[in-house]
Amino acid sequence: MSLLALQQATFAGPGGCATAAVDVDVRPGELVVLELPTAVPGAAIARGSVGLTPAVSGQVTLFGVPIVDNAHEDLLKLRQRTAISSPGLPLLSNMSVRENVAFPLLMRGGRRQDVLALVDALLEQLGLAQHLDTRPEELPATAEALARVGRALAVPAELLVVDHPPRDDAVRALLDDKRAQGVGILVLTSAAADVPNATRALQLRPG
Amino acid sequence: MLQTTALLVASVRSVWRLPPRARFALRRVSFRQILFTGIEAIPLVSLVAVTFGILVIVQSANSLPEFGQAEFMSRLLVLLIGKEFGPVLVAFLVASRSGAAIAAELSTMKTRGEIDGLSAVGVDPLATLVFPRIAGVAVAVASLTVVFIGVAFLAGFAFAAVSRESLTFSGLVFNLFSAMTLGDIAIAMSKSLLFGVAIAGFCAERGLAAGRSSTDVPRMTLQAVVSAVFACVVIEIVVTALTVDFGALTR
Repeated sequence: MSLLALQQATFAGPGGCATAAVDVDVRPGELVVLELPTAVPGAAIARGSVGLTPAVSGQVTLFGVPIVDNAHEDLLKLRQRTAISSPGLPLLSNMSVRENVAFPLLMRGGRRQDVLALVDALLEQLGLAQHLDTRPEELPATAEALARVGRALAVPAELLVVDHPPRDDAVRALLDDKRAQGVGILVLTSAAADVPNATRALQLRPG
Repeated sequence: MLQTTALLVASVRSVWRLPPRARFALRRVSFRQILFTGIEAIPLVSLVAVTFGILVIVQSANSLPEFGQAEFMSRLLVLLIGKEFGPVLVAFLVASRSGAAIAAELSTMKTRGEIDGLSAVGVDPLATLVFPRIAGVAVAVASLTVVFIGVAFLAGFAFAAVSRESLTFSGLVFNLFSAMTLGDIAIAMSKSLLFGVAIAGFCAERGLAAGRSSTDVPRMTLQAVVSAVFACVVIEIVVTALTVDFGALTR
């Protein structure tokens, strides 16, 4: 069964322009790369895949459920099985990097000590050990991107959508680990070569 | 009004769905809200309380004996300061200070995409951003109302006792407690809690209604404060209508 299926789906980008029609499906244990033309904002597709932005046309199906005017509670249940990292979905500015990454796990009922240990280990793996108590706006751009990806990777999700991940070996290794665990991953990027271990690579043509 | 009510109901349901450990973890957000809205507002509330208390008590002490109504002074003070103006003045102060801050913070987070960022990792913004603020503001407003009433009476009685030989501080305090009923306290505290919920609810609703433009932040903040103040006035009218014996006016 597809975890995420976008069928001829278009989404509104900046300035109200619609993206080109997207056709992609992601199954458990797959790492699918969707190469985007420069003009297509990955954030619009990332947001649309979990119903944060409604599709202008076409269909979005998440865990077999069509995303069309769903109730808040129903969407929340679906989103609790996903994790998205995108430059258009920043970290909370009133929390440190560590608190940002730990927060979704604490809200899922994790024990504080266990969550912080897991988060510290993950952030160290991403090279952010010296930025644990730094606020996001004080981080260099690369570190901020790594922290965003870290928040998505920390969550025990069945589907992971990563919009323009940083070119980092640790990120690639962690994505591979997730895929080996059966997580379905969709990577949105402008250079498919940056994700060499993809199960499938698709290209979105401007339309 | 309907949208705010829906938001309040939805946020309570959202918190109810959270695991117990998660609800416990959110207490820090509520405590921070109580600190900002309650503790840090004590100097401002006390200043207003001192001024108001002195004015009301001194004017009452001067005017009521002229009309031969000196024995009703304590009851009038309980009604004016404790039951009516105290809770309302505190609500207006909190709405303009903390309500504006809540609306500005949430609308900034909405504009920047931070709230969607939380939703994107399966965190419910209603449970984690809205409900703790509502709970914190409600507790803070009720606590500040107690502070306001206490400071207003103390300041007013002290001033009256110093300026008029016929009045003693202990005498005024004794008469006050004799004139106060449990019903007065219950109504004042109930109103305060309702004010707190309304202020946080309206300000959170306006904050979350912001769009992607930075000009939405000041616009929503202004709308939030106006809505919150208006809601407090409506609550005051409704509670007064339900609790006052209008028949006594025509006797």
